[in-house]
Amino acid sequence: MAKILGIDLGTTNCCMAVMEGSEATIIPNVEGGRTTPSMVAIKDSERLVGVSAKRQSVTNGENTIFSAKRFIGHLFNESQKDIDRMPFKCAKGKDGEVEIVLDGKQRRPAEIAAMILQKLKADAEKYLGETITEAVITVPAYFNDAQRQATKDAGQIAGLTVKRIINEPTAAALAYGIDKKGADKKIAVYDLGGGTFDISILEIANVDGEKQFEVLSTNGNTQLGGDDFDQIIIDWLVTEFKKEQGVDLAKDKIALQRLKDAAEKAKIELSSASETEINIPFITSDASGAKHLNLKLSRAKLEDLIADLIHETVDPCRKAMEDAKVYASDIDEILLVGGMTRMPAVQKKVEEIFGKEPHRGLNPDEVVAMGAAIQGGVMQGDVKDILLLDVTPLSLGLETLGSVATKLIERNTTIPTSKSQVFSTAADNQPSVEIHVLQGERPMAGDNKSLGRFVLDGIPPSPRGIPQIEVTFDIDANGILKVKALDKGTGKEQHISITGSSNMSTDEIERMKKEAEQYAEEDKKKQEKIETRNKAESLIFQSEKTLKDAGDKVSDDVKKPVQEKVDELKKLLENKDASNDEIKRGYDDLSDLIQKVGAEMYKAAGPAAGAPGAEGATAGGADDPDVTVKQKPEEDVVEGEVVEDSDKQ
Amino acid sequence: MNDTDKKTTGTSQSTDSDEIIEQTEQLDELELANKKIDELTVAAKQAMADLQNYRKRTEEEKSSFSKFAISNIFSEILPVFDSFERAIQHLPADLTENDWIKGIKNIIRQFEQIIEKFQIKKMETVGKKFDHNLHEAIATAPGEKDIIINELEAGYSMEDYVLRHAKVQVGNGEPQA
Repeated sequence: MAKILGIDLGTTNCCMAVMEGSEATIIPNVEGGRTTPSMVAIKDSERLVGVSAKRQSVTNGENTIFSAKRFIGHLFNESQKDIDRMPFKCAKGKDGEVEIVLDGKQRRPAEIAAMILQKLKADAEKYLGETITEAVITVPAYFNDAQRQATKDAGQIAGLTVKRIINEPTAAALAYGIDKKGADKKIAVYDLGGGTFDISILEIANVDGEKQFEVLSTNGNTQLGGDDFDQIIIDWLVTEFKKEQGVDLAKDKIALQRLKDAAEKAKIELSSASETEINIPFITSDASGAKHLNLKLSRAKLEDLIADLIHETVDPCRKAMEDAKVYASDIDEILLVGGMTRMPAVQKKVEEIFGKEPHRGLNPDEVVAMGAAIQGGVMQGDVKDILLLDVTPLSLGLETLGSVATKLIERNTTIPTSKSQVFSTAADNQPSVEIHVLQGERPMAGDNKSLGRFVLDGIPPSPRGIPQIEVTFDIDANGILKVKALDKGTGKEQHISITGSSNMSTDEIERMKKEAEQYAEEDKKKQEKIETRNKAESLIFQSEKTLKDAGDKVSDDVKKPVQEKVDELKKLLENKDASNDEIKRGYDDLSDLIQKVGAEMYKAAGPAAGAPGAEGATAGGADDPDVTVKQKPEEDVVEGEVVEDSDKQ
Repeated sequence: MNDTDKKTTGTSQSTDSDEIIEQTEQLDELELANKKIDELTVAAKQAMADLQNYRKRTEEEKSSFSKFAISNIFSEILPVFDSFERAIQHLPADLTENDWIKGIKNIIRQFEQIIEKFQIKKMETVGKKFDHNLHEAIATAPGEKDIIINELEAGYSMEDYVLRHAKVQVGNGEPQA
């Protein structure tokens, strides 16, 4: 079953999304952009769509079409003002409608839209790796039947079955999940994009158990958008520069381009910072030499500059409320759409108009496409409705050497899942291992919840670290945890099934999570101490082995201080109150000395012996922090060294 | 079973019709169960397909991630390099042999070396035919049609990936004054 693509077919930019699992995901185009300019061009008989059309537009004004959406379903005679503004030619169709001339041929605006949709479809297919045949496309709430039909036709031409045409503000409401929030509601959607401003008042009503959206009124300004804001900043920069340097940059095309880039950057920066520095070195030069532009623009100054522009949105909002016969206080939710609504001054104005804070959180450039994808998801019957996937609320693991909790399955892992890891013994000739199953986030075993324990015995006598015990944690779809330990040498295995692993009360889970955060620092110290102790024990073991292996090859003069240090460190470890630093110091001293023994052994063997490795490696191995050893023969704790690990879903 | 059936059948046959009703119910249940199986199979297939595609995509994204990371850093730094180049273009004639300036030029050279190390190449522009894959046309001016006559901002590419499109001025086919 193919996915239904959600498409926001905008006047200046398009955006697309699809449901993945239970979430709407934006699909980037092949150029990597999350939005695609609504531009089509024909250059040297090659069709260009999106950003590549935009890049060549000034060289090919007649054959680069943009804002085609403004002409959808319009008559030629009523669109003269819009047509005059465009660098491309328009003509009258056979029913008096506007047609656009591209590459010498008259085309309906829907055909232009189809070219854009075709690119979006192809890019989405490439990204998703599957064929797309169906789509939900959004249109402005004020579109009439003819315009909606034309949009549907555009989809058809592009090879898409348009499952539904939905209103842009409705899509925004779906993306914010407003329809899921209880009773009937009135919503205002404030959409200030790249080139147009739209305000819509919607009502969500519960009709026979189904949520229905009704557009109560719309209003707006088709010639107001982000570009106007950029222009104001550019004008300000030009004026300030002229005041300071006496040079008019408005006549310098190259300088203007740099100003344009800087203005847009400043606008974006001032949405999060209260002041920005616009720094353009070597912007121009005159007889007296090079000139640099370096101006500070504060958010307050910017807000002052654009106050009039923002104010232009107030009247349409008031009129829309009047037409809908509602007061500002009747509006339950306010949603923001379009990149310009990121500006704090715009958000403030919206709050002023409606007397309520607008919703934030979703990317205003993407919310309409996301809503379209959600509508598509509803129509194709979502996975989440049939299969509810659970996650493990807390991590699961087992106790390893030094009472450390080693996690096998991290919390928030979607179940069913399974993971295995190979452990080994902690002491020579250790006959059995105990698997102590733990649940929780704390690093020390004792601080986590014990879910159960079992013993795997009959391990044949062998040096510590040699037996391979594969421990597998397996959680099935019902949340039942099965822990299995397998001695890879003998094939002997033991297991335990734990049913209560996931049905902890929410309170209990929250408490354990909180505790984990609260004790994080303390726990880290404890764990460090244990790691140091384990390392020290390992070094003692290695050192004693090295001394034994060295035999007569190394003089007693060298061996004696090593033995002393070994004894010292052993004593230190017996003292439970010994500090981490003390043990660390002892460890460092011993590891320095033991290296001398290794060097001595090489010397004794002589360069001609040609057998580097064997003994020498033992001494070097003492530095390896991964080798954790315990020397008590009856110790039955599993060692924490990972030999290999494997994942399977 | 409809009403006429019930009327014509006698009481002795009621057990039969009970059985039939029971069988019908069982059939209904079976049908329902089959429907559920179909539904779940579709959902499971969809989920598996989603997962596989997601994996493939993540692999691809992983392999191109370092490229994107490098390109992001360089696109922030390139404007500084542009300014250095502009500074040298505007170098007053009496300073060309100045040792301090030579030092600054060596600093620029250091930057060029880093760029070379990452196999980032400056695009050729002036005199070349405009290519929308590499160049962004900012303005036109009299000159040979579609031939770049001026570079406003240098473009850079890393292997076949465009880091930044060159901003250029393109000839509009009108004779130069």
